Amino acid sequence: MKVAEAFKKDVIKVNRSLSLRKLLDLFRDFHTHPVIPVVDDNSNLIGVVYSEDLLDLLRPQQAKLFRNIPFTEVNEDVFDLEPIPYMGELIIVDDIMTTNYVAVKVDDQLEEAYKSMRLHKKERLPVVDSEGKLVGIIGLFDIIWQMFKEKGFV
Amino acid sequence: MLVSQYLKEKFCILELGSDTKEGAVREIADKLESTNKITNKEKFIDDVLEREHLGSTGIGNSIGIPHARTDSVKGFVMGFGRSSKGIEFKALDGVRVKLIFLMGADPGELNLYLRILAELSKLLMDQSFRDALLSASSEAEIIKILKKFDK
Repeated sequence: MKVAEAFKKDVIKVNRSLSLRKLLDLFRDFHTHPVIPVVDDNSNLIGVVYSEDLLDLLRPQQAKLFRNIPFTEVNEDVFDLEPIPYMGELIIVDDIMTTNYVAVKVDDQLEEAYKSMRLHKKERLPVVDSEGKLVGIIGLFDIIWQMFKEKGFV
Repeated sequence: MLVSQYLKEKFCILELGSDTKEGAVREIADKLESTNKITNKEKFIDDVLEREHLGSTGIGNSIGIPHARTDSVKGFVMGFGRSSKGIEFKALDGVRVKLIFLMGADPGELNLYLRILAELSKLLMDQSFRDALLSASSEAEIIKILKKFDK
């Protein structure tokens, strides 16, 4: 089974000049997507924004290193943020996107995609073609559904 | 506290010679070269200008914070330049920019960049801080003002 059989072509994507304000609007409208792929003018995938990256804007004091270790979030200060003036316009996707993202190829085996999700603790990964162009997105549920289908449950 | 930790006297220019955005970025980048943290100055300048092209960092009140996340910088660099005449920056409020804080960070240094940006933006909201910077008479005084306000 390949990624091609399970992924979704319908994907919300942005370009890197989009302002934080508009990005927040997008996340709000499509809250089921914890990841938004960033593409250039030729549809090449150049980065991704995770909802985690947005959270970083609210707790910049906390070192990223400690965030992955349980119980070290001594000061969860996301609710105490003093808003920075013009942040919505000053910060754009290019400033916050992750450039060392994980993606899967449309021709990859579904098993590889599943392993990738497990390894990187991501429930959704962007899907690219052999040239690196974004073609869709795949989520853990898409894989689960495909498995059930394979076994004849659905 | 971070701003005064990273911005040093030798990276400040009391009066920029240039009156264009590119010229100003170049002048400050020249100063930053001595940190040895810039691996490719021309690419750094290009990346900063490209980021400006995506969206101006002229946030109003005569302030510009041009920056780039780029692999031509190791770690984090920060410099400052002042222009009494003001420089056209396509700022949000349309006003020419007189206080320029240039930042460069390698793509992995996102956290530090955001922390400094937050601190700097907060500091710059203070009119007396901006006025003090605008009337400083030496690079040393700029650092003194920064330390006074940056607590």
